[in-house]
Amino acid sequence: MPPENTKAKLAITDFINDSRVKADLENLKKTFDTTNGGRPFIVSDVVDAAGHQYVNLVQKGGGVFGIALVGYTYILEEMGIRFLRLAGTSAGAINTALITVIDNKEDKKSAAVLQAICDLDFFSLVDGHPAARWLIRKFITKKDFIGKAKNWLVFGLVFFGLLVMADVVLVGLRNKFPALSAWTGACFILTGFWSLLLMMITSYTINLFQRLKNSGFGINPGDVFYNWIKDLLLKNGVATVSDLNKKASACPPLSLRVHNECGVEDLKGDVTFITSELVTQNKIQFPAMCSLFRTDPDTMQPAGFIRASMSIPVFFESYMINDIPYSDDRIIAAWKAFFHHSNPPANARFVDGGILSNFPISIFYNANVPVPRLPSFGIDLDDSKPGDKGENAFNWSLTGYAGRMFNTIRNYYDKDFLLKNEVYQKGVGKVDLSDGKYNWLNFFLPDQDKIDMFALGAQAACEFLQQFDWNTYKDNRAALQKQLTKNQ
Amino acid sequence: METISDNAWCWLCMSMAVLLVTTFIMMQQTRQFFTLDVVVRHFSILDLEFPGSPNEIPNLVKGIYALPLEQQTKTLLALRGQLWVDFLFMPAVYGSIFLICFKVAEKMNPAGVVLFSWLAWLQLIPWLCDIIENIYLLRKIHPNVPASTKAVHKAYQWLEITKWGLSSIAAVCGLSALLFFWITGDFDAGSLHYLIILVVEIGVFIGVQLIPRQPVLPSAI
Repeated sequence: MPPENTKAKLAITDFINDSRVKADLENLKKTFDTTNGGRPFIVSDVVDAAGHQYVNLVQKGGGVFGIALVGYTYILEEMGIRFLRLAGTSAGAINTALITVIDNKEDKKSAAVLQAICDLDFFSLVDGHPAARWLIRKFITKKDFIGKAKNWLVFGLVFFGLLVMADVVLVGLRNKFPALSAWTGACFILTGFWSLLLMMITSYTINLFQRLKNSGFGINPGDVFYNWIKDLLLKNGVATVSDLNKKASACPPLSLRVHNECGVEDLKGDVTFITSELVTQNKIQFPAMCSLFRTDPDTMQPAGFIRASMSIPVFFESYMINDIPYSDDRIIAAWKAFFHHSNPPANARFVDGGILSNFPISIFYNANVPVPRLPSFGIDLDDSKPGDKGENAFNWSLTGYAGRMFNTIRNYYDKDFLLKNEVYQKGVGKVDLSDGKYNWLNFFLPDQDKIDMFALGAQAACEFLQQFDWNTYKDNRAALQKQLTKNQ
Repeated sequence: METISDNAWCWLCMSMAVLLVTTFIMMQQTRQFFTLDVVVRHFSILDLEFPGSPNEIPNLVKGIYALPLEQQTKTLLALRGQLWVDFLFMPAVYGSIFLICFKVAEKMNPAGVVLFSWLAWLQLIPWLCDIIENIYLLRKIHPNVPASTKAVHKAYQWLEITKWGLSSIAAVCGLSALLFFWITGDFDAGSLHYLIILVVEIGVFIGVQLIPRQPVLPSAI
């Protein structure tokens, strides 16, 4: 079922002609306008014939915050930056996929990505049971929904108790005052109705939980998303894993701005989607690790990689790969090579890559290059709530406590890499979404919020490019590399 | 009408017997309801009655056809069988509600008579809805079942709401009124032996349910 369009359809111009985006971009261009005394715009030594500068790009996951990623990449593209190697998790994987498959490496992709966003009714991605959709909408859009639901539940039970008491009292009184007969009967019937209502709510809730269990604890099947991304890949000529790899690796002739002993011959593009596999408990990088699951990778659907990467646990059903030929020597060899594991599973169950590596910048670490030729850029999405750090740690609610534990575990893998390789942090721009105005799961986002998020992404990109210094970055990375080589 | 009125409790005992027997048969059939939805899993007739989207019934039916042949045959036989047995269940269940409302109406004031007579005769609507539902589902059971249009899906949802709504309201009103008459002692002692028959019927039904049975496992893939 194709996603439906929203009633008043957004247009690409609504995003790129937004006054904030235009002003930020204009200022940025002025900063680097050498004809008017600005400094030269250099972010990489790898360039193509048209003068585009190439960088590697990693994009963080974050649900609907993915729109901010598009705003960020829009500015990078407008400044003549193109992406050689791409990686992303969850929402980052979606933008990564689109940038990979749309047109050629040297072309701008943002307009086409924005068109895809404009054509998509975000709410259609929440394709679960209507009751679950309603609950999710209320839960996300009404801040006090849980409190109100609790009040209604208490009211329902108290009212039921009062009705039963009224029945008892009226039956007693009826013997003395026969005129109360009709009222007593009516009260009995009302009690019956109320019981029916409570029973229906209880049985419907049980039914919903049963459905949740049957669907592998995923509220939404994610089929609409899968079909949406599959259609977009197909429209851009990507039907198989080979097509995807071909698109990702195809580059125009590249050259170096300054000499580098490594040359450009080994530079080629690729794409990586991060997902978490629960059966063997591993981080999987698609499409590089396809050989773990199929002897012929072209029997896999590339849309599945992105679907696997964005399977937010519980919100979406897990993505499954069944019937893995686990006794095939090639599969066994692949598992041994990647994970030193000699018993491949018969099936694999994937959830959002964000639970293991939401910001997989470490995959661009290359120990073989003494002096980097191009930087690894990263787009970070900061959605920490204003109260997160100020609140007394002893006063957290159970959910707040559990949430913080989960976030500590899931973020530390990437954080550890950045702490140990601090120079990579210099390539990371942060989109500030921490004002608590947005919810990363709010698929019911009003159009204006989408534009605002895009503008925030664009603003973050402008701020990042203003302060990014390629030479310092290069020197720092070269120094780090030197240090590591010396230690070895 | 007088025949019904005079023998209403007797008819109720009979319709309850049919209702309980058909319920027992259908519960046995339900034990064979399996579908392949990523993994082999159980489903109930309620999954077919309350689909969340137009794709749910086709997906569930296609999942049955994706089962190994042996289990597929058993499930299809059980599912079709249940839909056919349901045609016997319908007159029993809606008839029982009709009779309860009809009897309650006799003891009511004029407003109550009108209300409960309406509730009794309205049971023809859920019965009709149930018949349409079963025909719709029987026609859906084939390997290449297409998804319904949105309009048909919506109509099907309304059909279910009407069916369950009217029958539940009438059943609740009727049973609540009966409970009221019982607690207030406003009943004919002559009808007590019918109550004993009903209690025995229900007791036998529960007793049969309590007999331990081997769990039904889907035939191996």
